[in-house]
Amino acid sequence: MADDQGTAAGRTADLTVDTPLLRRAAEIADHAADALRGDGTCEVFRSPLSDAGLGHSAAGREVVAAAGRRVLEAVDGARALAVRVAVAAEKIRTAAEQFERAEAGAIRGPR
Amino acid sequence: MTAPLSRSTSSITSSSSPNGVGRGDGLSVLRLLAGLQGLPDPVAKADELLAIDADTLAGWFTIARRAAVWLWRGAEVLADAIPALAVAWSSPTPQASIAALREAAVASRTVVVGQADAADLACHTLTQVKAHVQAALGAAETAVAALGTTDVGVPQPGGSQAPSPALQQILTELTARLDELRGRATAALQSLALSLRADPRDPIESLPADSAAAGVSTEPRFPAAGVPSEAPLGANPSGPIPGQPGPAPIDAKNLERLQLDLQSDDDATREMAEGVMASLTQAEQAGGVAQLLVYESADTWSQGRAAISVGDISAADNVATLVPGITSAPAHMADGLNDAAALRAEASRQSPGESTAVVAWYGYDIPLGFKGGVSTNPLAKVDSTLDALDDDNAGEGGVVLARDIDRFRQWAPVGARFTALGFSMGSTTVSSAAARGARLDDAVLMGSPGAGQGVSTADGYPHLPADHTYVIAFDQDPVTQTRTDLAATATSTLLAGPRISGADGEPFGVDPALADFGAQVVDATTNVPEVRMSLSLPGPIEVLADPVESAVVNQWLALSHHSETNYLSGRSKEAAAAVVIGHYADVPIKPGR
Repeated sequence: MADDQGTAAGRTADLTVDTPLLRRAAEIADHAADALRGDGTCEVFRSPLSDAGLGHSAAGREVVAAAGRRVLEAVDGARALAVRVAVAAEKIRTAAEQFERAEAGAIRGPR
Repeated sequence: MTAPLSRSTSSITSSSSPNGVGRGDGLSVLRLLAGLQGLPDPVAKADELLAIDADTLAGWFTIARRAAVWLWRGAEVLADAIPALAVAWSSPTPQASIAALREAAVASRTVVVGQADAADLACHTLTQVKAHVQAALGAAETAVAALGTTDVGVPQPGGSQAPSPALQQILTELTARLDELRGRATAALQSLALSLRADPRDPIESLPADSAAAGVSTEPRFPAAGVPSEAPLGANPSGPIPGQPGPAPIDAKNLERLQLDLQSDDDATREMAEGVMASLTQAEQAGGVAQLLVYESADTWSQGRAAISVGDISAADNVATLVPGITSAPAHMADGLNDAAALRAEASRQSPGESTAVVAWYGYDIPLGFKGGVSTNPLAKVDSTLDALDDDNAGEGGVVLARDIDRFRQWAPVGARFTALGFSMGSTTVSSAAARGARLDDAVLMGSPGAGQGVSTADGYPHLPADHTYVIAFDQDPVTQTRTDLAATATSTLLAGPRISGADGEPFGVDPALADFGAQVVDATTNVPEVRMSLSLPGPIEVLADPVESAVVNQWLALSHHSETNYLSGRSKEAAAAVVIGHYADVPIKPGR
């Protein structure tokens, strides 16, 4: 565990860090990224709905076009979030490593 | 008492239909009898409803449900990370970051589940509607089969049939029932369409940008023309723009050519480059991001080519390409860019969660371009003037537009919607591009003099269904009227001798606002107030001059209705933007001319 004191706007604040627990949090975030990536069973690239599949009304055509996009966007969105979560996990892990190095004296503290 | 209809004419033996539903031969009897009674065919209405593929829609949304499960699981696991972080690191920032990611997952899932639920509800209603259609048809078949031969009408000489009140009542009631069911199906689809207007990625994309994105320059990429720049454009065209990280922008090569042309000794080349530079500044101010997607130099024979995107095409959900009419030129794109910005703003207003890029495409040899462009030689001017009298340039421009749209697609995200909108001769160019296989989701023809040679109906576009072709033609706009064809033909014959027009003799092709053309005609009116003038001259002069001069003045006034800005204002702009973002249910349609 590292206990550091930082300065901000002329004030001091205690910073408490538990690096093994930080690594655990990063692991949990990795699991979350895996969950968001899904099981790889949705490799679909286009909607099976034909242009007139829901009739020729304006609403029918709009639904065909929108449904084609939204379903793919739902999958894309989950995967994009997985990437962001994975990046966050990596940052937490890097922070833990930096704190450990600082505590070991490899990096000078902020004071 | 009359005998029941013979089996040979009213058999209701079941057979299999393409819809997989048992169909009676009696349906053909219903169709036949309706025709003989002079009533609309109820079976055609029924077939349209029965063809609705609710099962495929439901199946498609099972994929969305799976994505919703991933989002839910991800959010659940992230929830476990938050208390661990709270203990592990006293700073609140890491917890807040993870909590924001979790909230984005939950919010995105809410949208996805809402849409999947709406799809299920719609599918349920549509399936019910189809069952009711079957039942209504069956009941009508049975009722007709029970009629006596005299009840169905006595054959008349010539094959028609005498009116039969009993039969007419059955058929009228069937039609009314089918209309009611069609209304239910439409309402279900409208409700689903509304639900699908939310983008499930919005909560994720609205998360704060990663710190890696810091350092993006807030300086304009395109300094105003004439203002010296410390880091001139094209200084490092193959690398990133100074101050901006990442790979070279998609328009790096065009910007390099533009930079060279700004130093050109050729007046036409330099003038056009200066105009394009000013346009880029204007577009950047309007859209935040401006991209020079096409750039070819002008010279003494040509106005050159340019296309500028207002908004980032590489991140756009919708890409609209706006094609101007005669007298436009790449050297002066101000009006076109204003219209592009207005269309983009309207699309954003109607669909705030989506990004739209509007490309002002000055990419064809625009007739009379020298009027608004760089100075070309006299022969080129004569040639360009004659070009305004027929659709030759639009036809050739259509080939180029189709090719450019293919390139734009490579820069845009997969799945982006592409719409081409053309005004006046630009509409003829868009039509020609569609006829040559341009990959478009929709086309909008505004103030069109014609759809171009070889395009007789909206069914003539290989990759664009007829009901994805929209026409906006103000009744007050003389260019959309037949007299424009007549005037062009007369002037062309006078100046250049007789030419071979299309089969119908119209130099710009068929009026796409005609009902027979088969496009969707938008119900919108001109945004310019109607003003008619009556000249007042003294005595006998008035008798001779007034009608003629008034006609000329009124014709001139009528031309004020024919402007791209007029077509991209008010309700017509709303309709055009609704097409661009695919909100078809919001586009008011009226019968064609």
